[in-house]
Amino acid sequence: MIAAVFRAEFRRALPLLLACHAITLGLRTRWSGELTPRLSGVIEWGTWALAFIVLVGSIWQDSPSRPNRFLASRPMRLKSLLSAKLAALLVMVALPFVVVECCTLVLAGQLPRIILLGTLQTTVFAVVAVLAAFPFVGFWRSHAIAFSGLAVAFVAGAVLLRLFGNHPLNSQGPRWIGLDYLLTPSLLLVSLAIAGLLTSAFLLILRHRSQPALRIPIFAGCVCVALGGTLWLRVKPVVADTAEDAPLVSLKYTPLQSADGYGTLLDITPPSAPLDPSIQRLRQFTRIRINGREALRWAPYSSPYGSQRSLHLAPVQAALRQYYGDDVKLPDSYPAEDEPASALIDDVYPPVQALQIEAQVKETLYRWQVVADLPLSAGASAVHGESRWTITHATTFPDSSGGSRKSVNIQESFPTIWLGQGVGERAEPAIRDQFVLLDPSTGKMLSGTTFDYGNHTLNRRTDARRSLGENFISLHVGEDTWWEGKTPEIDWSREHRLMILRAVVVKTLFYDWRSAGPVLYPSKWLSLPYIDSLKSVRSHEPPLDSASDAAAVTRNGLGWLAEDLLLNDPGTQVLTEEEWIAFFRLEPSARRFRRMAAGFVPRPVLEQEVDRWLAVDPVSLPNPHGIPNHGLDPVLELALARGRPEAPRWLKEAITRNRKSETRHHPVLLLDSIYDAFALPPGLKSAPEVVDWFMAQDPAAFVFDPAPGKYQLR
Amino acid sequence: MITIRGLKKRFRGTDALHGVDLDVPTGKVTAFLGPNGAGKTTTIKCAMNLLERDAGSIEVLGCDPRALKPEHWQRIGYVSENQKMPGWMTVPQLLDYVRPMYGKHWDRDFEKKLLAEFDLPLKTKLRSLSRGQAMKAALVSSLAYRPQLVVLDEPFSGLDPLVRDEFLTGLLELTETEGWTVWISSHDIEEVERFADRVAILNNGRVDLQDDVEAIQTRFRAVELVLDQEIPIPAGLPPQWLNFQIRGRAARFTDSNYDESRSTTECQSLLPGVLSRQVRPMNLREIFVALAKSYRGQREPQP
Repeated sequence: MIAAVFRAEFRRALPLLLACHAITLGLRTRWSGELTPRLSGVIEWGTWALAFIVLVGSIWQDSPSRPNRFLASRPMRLKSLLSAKLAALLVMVALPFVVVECCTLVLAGQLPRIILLGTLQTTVFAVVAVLAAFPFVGFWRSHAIAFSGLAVAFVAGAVLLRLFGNHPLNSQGPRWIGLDYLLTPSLLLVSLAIAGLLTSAFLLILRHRSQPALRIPIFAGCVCVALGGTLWLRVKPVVADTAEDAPLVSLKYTPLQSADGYGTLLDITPPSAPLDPSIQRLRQFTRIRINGREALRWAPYSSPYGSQRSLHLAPVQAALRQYYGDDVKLPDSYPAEDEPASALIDDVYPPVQALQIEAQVKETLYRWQVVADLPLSAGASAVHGESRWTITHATTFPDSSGGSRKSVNIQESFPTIWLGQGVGERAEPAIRDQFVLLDPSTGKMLSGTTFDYGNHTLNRRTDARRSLGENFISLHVGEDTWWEGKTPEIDWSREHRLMILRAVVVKTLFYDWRSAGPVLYPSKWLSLPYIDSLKSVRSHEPPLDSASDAAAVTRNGLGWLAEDLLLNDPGTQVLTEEEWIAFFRLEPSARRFRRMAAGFVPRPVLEQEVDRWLAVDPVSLPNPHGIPNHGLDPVLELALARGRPEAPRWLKEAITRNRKSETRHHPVLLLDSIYDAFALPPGLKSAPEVVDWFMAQDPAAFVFDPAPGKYQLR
Repeated sequence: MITIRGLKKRFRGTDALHGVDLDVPTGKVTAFLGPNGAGKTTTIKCAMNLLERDAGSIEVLGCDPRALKPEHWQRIGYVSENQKMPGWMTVPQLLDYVRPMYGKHWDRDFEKKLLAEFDLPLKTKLRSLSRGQAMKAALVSSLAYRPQLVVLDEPFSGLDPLVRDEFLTGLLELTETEGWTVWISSHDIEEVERFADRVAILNNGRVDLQDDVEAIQTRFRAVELVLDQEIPIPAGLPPQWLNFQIRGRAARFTDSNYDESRSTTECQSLLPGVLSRQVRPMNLREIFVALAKSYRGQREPQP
């Protein structure tokens, strides 16, 4: 009997399904890149749709809930029928997907671990989908009731998401959320499993009841409970128990105006620990609770600086130097900026009231690593761990200025394993790879603009459909203007190299911070309908009368607004020593050092703090610390303020180096720093005179005098 | 073979069956007649455990339909116009599909004989078959294991006369040679009359009449009287006189329990001016119509 059912199911659509799977496998392996990603996607979706139709049709045909089913009056036990159906559908629908997935991974030359996990996760997904289909389809007695029930369940689910799918700060009602947030593979599995189990239970209870209308609200209820459970899992922040308490933070609100409307950006920066220049830091919120309610959006707001990448970045250059040696030609470098953790806490302005804020910030330290180095010619490929890159096209074409633009198309394949996350090498998913070209004629490195096109996976780490994601990257190097027309295929010199850099996680830290009291909510700042609000915020400082007010404000994260009042009178010790150090670390500048050393914190303590910075981030020339357009490098300024004996030499070397680049040398920018750090002879008036005087001295002749906090000539 | 007592069923607040009592005796062909919407299909579905009953008792092959096991179903052949066959199969695939369910009961020779008799196309999918062919295919799949009880729900529905004739002829031959118990529902009374041993008439959710065909035809007579003058309908008419009506000097009625001597006496006493009296036997269709009219008259409020 079981064999008969099994055979019948095979006859139904297996040949067609197998043909679709064979085409899919061919597209993924042999013909990958020959068809457009869109067409490949259509074929894959078509296979899924066909499997869905076969699955639903098969279960519907012999559903025990339907009195008119053909087998209702045949000598077939329900248990045997369901077993046979399940076995047939697992073999006919689920198994081909698993086999195709496994073959794709094997033919792509993936590691055994990835093949195993990829096959396993496809198996889990396919089995859960087939199992859940039984109660979902078998719940209904007729087409009409089924469609009505599904429509009601859809509306109920949408209402549920609208009512409870968000945690707004405002009272103007929550906004709609996208289903894509729920449709991550693990959450989809959980919701399918919950809804499937509930529906099965009710199916058993209702099996002797024929009221079809009763099934509609019950099914809608099951769907809502499943969605609710999924939402709860989704909303529940994954916070680390081992988080360290941040004594102070720097907190900023920024109103945002975009095409989508208004929003409020919350930035929190915990005190920075000194960092090796080859290391970059990424801060993200893992939790924000405002007035006791979770306020973190579904995904952390990704700051435009979050994936800062440039050949000028010191950590990027450190990776290239480590790979090519110190002789590599690189442009001037800048240390990576310390970005805050940012989150769009709402899309409309919060209410005008004081806020209690509780936040946890995740700090990921990562370093860049050259993971691939391949000749710049079509067909060249490289492998690093689980990732594969292949250059599909390398072209050049003239630009409007008479020069040429280079364009490289790269196809990247990578595992999208959600079952075994956390296993193996950890790449930071929030930071995209960086692509750098080496021009052999000049020996220079070029970074271009990258565009992703035809993404097969929206989120590279979580794709339910397949365990091998593909990304198509187009790298443009040259003028910023676009040249429209045909791009002639040319054979690039094999001397050209394409290097791919990847951010590899070194360490992860967590910080907890809770506001000490109600945070002043600067409502009038936020009513300004333009983006450049920070300037406006500074011009609307809240009313502060005493150092105690300033301390309270500082403990609530707004110390950057109250610095003048806080550091006004050294006799008022309104912060603990730990808080003072934290306050310094929030903005370790020479100005703050000098003001704090005036009596708020013992100078040796501050000097020790600066020495720690200089120990991990030494000012070693040539580079990395030149003189940017905005004045001295902050670390060099700190070294001068602290009175390090090497600091005058560092400054002189930096100015010497900077003078070589005439266009960027502005003596006036150095004037304040030299005035603040050196006891100058009288009579020096202009900035060039001051700089020339300093450059004429022997750096070793300067001795630091702690009393005035300045260097003096011996 | 089938015994139904006090069967009740409600659909969305409407009573479909008001307490059906019915017997389908072993070895006989029982026709289950009734107008559309009378509840025939509902009754059969309850008996086949395809619908849950609200009240009453049913016995099929000696047990409650809810307790019918595969061994019982191997002795029942059920064909309904409402049955949804797997349309993507061909007839041989359908037979391959169901054959293993009947094990040793399935008769391959009989299957071949039925296929040959019904002249079914073997390469066409069921969904592409005509209604008559699909019904024949269902019949083959339900008869090839020689069931003891054959239940046919509106098998003639939508069949053209030629196919209907073929179908009936085949079924008649089989029932005679195999000695099966057949329960067949239809609203096409004339067709059923050709082979039914017994008739049960369902009207408005109740069985109004059930008896052997011969007994029914013996009991029912159409009586026509010619009176000497037009008179109003007299009071105190016997209850077995159905649909009594007078048009001018002619009176007509159906005697549902006819007895020559008693009928003559009653006519003379109630209608003294009878000039002539004509009595003729009725076919099943006429009996059914007479009963239906009578019950409709009883249901309608009296002026």
